[in-house]
Amino acid sequence: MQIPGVKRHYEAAFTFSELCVSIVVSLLFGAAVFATNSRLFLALKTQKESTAATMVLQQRMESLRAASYSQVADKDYLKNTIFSNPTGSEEPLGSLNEQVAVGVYGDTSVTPIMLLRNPQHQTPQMLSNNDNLTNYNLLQVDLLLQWTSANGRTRTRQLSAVFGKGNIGP
Amino acid sequence: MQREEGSVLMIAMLTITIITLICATSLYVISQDSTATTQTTAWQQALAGAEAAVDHGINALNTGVWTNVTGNNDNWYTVTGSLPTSKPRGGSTANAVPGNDNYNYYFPPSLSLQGEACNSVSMWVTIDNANLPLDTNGNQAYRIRGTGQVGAPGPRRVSNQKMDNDLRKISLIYDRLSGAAVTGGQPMATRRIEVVVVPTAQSMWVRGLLAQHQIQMSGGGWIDSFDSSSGFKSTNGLYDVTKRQSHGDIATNDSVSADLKTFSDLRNTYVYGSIQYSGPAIKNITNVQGTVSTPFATDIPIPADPSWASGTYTTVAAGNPGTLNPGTKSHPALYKMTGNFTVPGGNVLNIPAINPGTDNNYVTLWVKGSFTISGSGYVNQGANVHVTYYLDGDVTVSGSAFLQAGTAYASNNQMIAVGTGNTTPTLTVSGSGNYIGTIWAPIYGITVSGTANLSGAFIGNNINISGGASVHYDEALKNLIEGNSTGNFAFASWFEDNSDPARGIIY
Repeated sequence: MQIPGVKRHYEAAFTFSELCVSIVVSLLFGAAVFATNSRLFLALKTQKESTAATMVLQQRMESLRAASYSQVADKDYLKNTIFSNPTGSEEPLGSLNEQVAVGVYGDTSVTPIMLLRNPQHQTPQMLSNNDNLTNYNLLQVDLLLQWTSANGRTRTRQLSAVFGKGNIGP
Repeated sequence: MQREEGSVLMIAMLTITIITLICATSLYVISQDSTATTQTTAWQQALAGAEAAVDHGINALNTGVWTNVTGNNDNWYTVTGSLPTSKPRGGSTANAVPGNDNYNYYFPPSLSLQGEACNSVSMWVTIDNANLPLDTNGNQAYRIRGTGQVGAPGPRRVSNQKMDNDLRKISLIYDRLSGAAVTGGQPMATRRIEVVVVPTAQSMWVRGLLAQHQIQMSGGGWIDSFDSSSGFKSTNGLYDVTKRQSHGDIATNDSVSADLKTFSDLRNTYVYGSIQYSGPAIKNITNVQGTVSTPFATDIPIPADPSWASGTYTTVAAGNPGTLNPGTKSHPALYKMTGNFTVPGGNVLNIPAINPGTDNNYVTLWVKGSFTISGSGYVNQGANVHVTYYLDGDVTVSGSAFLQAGTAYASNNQMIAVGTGNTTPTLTVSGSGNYIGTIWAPIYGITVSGTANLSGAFIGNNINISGGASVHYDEALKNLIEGNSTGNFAFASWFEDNSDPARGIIY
């Protein structure tokens, strides 16, 4: 029986459905936004790591460029002077492995000087040595960084350069 | 009754739209930043390549190796004409430094890289003389241009920071050096370093001051040059400030003191010449009129005591011998003193010219002990008499302690301080007057105080000149005593050529 003067609200049921759909859509969208946000934060962290790696490599390369040829070819100088301390930029790089190899440019048969610094060896560990690199005219220096990124992925960056005899000193 | 219930979906959609736009914008910005970060990496790798290319250039100049550089049959090439803006090509195999109308170039093998960003760095280097003038020893300076080039991974998209784009001129579509489209449409990072390298004279007597370690100057003196063999550059063979020359060069193998405690400091002394050094930068060089370059490396010969056979020399008693007669040029008179040599105030050591001829009076005095001329004492040296002192102990003299009759030439008065048995020997020149001669004392700490004028050339371990004393390098020494040879090349300037001709930015 219908009460006179009172209209029936047919929308009421539709509104409830609509509410449910909205909730579902909103939840889905919220999840998407959360995922996007996570991805953005990850991308930001990745960029921060990339920039940090760039700065670490640059600092090391600047130090090497400020050294004479014989110093670059000297394992003790590399170990005790250039790579004895962490760089000021490596904090964002988790589980950083920093490796330097000084070898003969154009001749991979000659054993290089290789040092590795990582959380287990804050003082650089000697992987290989060659005391006769000053006998050669050109040296290649490879700086290799490996670290665990924010998403657990292993990332790698390398910077290489060539040093000629008598660069800024004998 | 209320009818608004149906608007919930609209509000939700609107909210979603707004948040989506925010997310899209964030993604876009992050994406751009990511591209910029990658481009920064490429920019850094290109610099390492350019610096490596420069080292190839200075290595070629230092070693003279122009062919089969790495043992892989890779050569330098020489091309007639001026330097190209982009990659050089053509020409014939080079076997020497370039001349006035040509340049040399070299494409070193590429550097392979692991990990992110570009995996290969290519480079090339050119050397020409750029019409640079010869130095005072007749040696040529050169210009080295090293270029490094790497691919810049990622889309051809600029950074959202204008300053990034101004700083890092990534070639996204066109190569900024050649103006041509980038190869394969791949963005590139190209950087170029241009340096000027100057030769370092290796001979002992080609500069006024040469030190194994630090050089200190103070007191308002100056360093310049003259040429005792030229009437245009000297007056009666003596230094004349009105005929000052600007070849009073100074150099040090290591600008830190031997005890590693102090650094070289010129205290804005006027140097009418150039400086070459290794080690930390020399302080206060504002008034250096020539070039300042590094590195400097020369093997300073260490003198040794003479080895005279028995009977070939005369032994003299310690103190003041009074008179030493010279021998001839072919048979110099040799005197050996095992004690201390001392000429106190009011006393004179005479070394007269007794042999006929203008270049025929030679004396060598070897003093095993200390060598002291004090007060008004002095050595009275005859005209054109050549005296060589070998000294093992400490040396203390005044600026006016050596009087040469006639024209006083630096080459006539050679002090060779050996320092045998003396771990930290010292050589002190004090007071006023003119000291004309050479001092070869590579293990001695040389101290010059007072207002003495030193004419000649001086070699020491540490050199400290104070009190207003001045040094006048005699350019005639390099011809009289020793020939000229070139050691390493030193960097006189270093800058990055960041021009962008395609955009009208030219330096």
